[in-house]
Amino acid sequence: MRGKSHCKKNNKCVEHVFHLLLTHLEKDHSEIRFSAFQIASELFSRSHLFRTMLLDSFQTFMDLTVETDFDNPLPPPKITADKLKLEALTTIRGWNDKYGIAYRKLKRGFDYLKHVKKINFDQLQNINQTYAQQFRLNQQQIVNATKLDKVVKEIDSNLWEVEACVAEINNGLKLIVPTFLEEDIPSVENSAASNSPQSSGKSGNNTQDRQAYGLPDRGYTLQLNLAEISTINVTQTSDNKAVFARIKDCIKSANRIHLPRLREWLTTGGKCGAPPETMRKLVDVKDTMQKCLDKYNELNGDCESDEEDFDDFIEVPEASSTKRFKSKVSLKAAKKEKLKRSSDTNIWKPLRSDNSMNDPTSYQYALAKQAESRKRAKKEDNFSSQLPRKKEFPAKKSTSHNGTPKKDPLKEKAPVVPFGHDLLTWDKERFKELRQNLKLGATKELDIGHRFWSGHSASEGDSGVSDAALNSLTSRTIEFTGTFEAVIKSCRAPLPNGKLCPRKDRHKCPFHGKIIDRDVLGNPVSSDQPSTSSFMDRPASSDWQDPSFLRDVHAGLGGKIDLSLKRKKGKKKSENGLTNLKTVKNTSRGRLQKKVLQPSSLKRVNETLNQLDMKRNFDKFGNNFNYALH
Amino acid sequence: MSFLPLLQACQIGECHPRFFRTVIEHKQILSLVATDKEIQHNNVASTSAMELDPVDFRYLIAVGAQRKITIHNTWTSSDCSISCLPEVASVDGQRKHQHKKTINYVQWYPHDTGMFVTSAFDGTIKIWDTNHMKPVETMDIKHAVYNHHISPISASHSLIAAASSVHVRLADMRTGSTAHLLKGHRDNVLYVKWSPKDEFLLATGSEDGRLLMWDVRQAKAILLSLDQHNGDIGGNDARGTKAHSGSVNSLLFNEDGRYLLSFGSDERMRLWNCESGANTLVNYGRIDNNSIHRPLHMAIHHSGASASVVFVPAGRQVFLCDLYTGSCLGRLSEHFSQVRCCEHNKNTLDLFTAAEKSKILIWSPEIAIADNSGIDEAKFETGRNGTSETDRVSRLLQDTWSDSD
Repeated sequence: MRGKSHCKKNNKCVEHVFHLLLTHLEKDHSEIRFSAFQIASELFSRSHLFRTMLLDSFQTFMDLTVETDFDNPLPPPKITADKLKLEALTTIRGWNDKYGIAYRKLKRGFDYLKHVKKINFDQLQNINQTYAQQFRLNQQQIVNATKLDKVVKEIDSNLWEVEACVAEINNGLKLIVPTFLEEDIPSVENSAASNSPQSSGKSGNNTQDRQAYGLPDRGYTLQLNLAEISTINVTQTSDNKAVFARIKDCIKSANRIHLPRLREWLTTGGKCGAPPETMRKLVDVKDTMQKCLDKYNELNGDCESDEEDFDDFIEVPEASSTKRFKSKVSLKAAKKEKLKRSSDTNIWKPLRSDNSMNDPTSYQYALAKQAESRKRAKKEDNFSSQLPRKKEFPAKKSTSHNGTPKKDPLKEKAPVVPFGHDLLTWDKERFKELRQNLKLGATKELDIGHRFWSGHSASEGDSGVSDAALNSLTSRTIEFTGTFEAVIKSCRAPLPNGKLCPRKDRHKCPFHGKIIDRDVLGNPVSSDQPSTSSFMDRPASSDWQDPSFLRDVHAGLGGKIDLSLKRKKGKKKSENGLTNLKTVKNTSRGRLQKKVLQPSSLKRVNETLNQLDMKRNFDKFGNNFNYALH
Repeated sequence: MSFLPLLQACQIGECHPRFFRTVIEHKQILSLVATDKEIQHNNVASTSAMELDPVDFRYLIAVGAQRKITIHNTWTSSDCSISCLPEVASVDGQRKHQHKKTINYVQWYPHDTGMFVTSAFDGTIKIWDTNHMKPVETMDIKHAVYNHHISPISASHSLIAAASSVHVRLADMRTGSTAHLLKGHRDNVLYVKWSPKDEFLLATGSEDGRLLMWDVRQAKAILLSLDQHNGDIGGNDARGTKAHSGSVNSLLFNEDGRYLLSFGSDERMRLWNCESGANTLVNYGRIDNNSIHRPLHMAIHHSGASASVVFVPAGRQVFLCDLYTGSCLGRLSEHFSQVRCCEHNKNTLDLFTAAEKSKILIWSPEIAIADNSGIDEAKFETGRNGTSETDRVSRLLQDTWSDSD
């Protein structure tokens, strides 16, 4: 260090350096002060003269570094100020430990800090530089703990419901379709479904049992045609009707309430670090529920034909496990059935009411009739082939040619909006009547619905009511606003204070632009996407400021343009590694303040308000001669 | 040593022994350093006033914001191992007798240590019996008392002058009456001081910047209103003449009572001629002072016209000024908060200073300390521990430049 070698040469230099450092310590910038303090602490451990000089003005020194005087707080930036204070305190403690015996004033200053300023020097050592970060982490932990607590409580109070629902579905399904895998039910083995692969595999082992059931043990081969019986046909009878209804209810509640809730619990639990036992339990419950639903779906595929409200069933995205495709035959059949149905009703299905089909006047009935005729035509055309479906509904099937989907995605998307039943028919019948009425009546202005201004049809005379007018009279607008979806993703662009942007916007953060995927540190995951955060650290430069381009232009014009270069030079001069305090002040709040509290804008707003007041007063009291006098 | 020729001159009669003494004392005062001595049971608390007993400068009485009165014996025996002044007596915990609020000033009875007088913000002046540490008389004034003073030379009266709000009150110790009022100030009176020459002459300084001299015998009591400009500018001001542009915090007479030193919050000190009331225009320079609403207590070392030294509380430091020339002789900066009062022992040349939030510091001439430490070293040399200690200290006082620099 060159400064030190200078000081070593001559004590005069030490004096100079001391005064220089003191002037720098008085600067209104914590970073400057911090640097000066570091040099001072270095010299303090070297020179006796420096020590005596510094201790002579120790009060001022402490004011400038440790903030002993509350009237003169440390200057911004705050992070460095805190760092300076902490560093100074630990250094003073170190000085006191070492030089306290020799320099009385140092000891006295230390005592002053300890007893009067009540600074706990023992705690200081524990506080390291990551104090702020730890604080933030702690805060986060507290928040997480409260969240976790809440979730755990919720789980404790509600998990039994979910489990009960699962058990109910399971039991119901068992009642309808008994499981045959259980070994302890020998009676079932007799039935037709006992030809399961397991039982046949075991035939060698327990011949005794077999003989007991009257089956011969040798020379008897059993051929199983699994394909034929893989469909499980369950017909809804009066016996199991109640069971079916109950299961359906349970499934509904499972889909609507329990599954989303489970998912939420899992995500929050994962985020907040729930204990692994709870998580395992939750995952288990979710799996069993999923299995139940799958089972039901399988079954549902079979007995779907006699169920009306298939559309009501909300598809669970995770449910696409392999189990569903165990019984391919049945699936295919179901698909066929469904496609037929979709061709019937997918076009437009306004209302689902059972008796509307019976009513010959209903729209439903008309649709059904149409569909029937279409079906008949189709049968005639190509009875055996399965392919021509694509030909028939190319528009609808274009998106769903990947094979698996059971439902038309468009249909899935399309909302069902309830509206009045009367609308279906009334206009058709009364259209003419209405037209007549309008013609006869003097209500020409009904054309557009305006009192004074009338359209051309009215001005032409009695030519009649226009179609547009009639349409406006007979049509009713039903608005569909969509359903609210909560925004889950936050912006997470890195902020200058080290945190990530917590804003949750749907598409675009007002500060950081379009919301993109980011990693833990807030850097964009895919580099091809425009990095929105990088504009902060990159000096603002547009395309035309590209240096090579500028050089070309410069050469072309013979040095006439050097505006941009000049500006760059000016910027470089001011750079000295310090935080620009002006930019620190340049927060959104500051900018708004600048705009809102600008004298001109204040004046403008004031004038407007005054004008409004005046106007109101005039409106109220303008006619009153008492007030009109002045 | 430069003393030796002087000593010789003294022996052959060329130099007056008093002059020799003055020279030595002056030198010693300029070498004051803070000692390690402490005061027993001295908590970190604000001390507002203290005084050494005027008879033999032995007992230091101190009062402060804690409403506690303590008396310490400053005569420690020559044994230097005792580094703390023992507490002789204190008024603490006796709620019945205590002042209700911060005690502002304390003064020994000028002729005897059997009695002392305190005044406080609760508007009372109490006269205490030192032997019982109980008040024998409580005079209720109803206004906060900033300062009081008993004339040190009075033979014909026993009046306590008390600065209470805008008036100066004269309380008679013999009758206990507080009826006499001196009106003339326009703002809180901060300091009152009797002249050491004339027993009826009283000087008072106030927050309005006026410094008034009173003759308490006259009906029209104001003798003089001191003017900082000596009548040149602003003498015809309707508000009257001002001694300071801020408030007058402190007053001090010289030993013969012919000059009065005042210190104001305009950060100036002024020396006044008491006979004519003229500003002597001695320039003391700028001295820190930001206490507008409270009195400060200066101390003086009297040693004739050539070497009288004033100790002035200046912010967090104590300034040493020559009374008559105004030159700054030095500054003592060991306090870390505002210094409020100084007290000087003219026999041992010790100085006691107290600040807002610190212990009372005791300053002694460095030469005396060196003598004592010489004894110390002799003592310590027998034990190994001592030598290592001094070695360590002296090593710490060295420069330690590393070779790599």
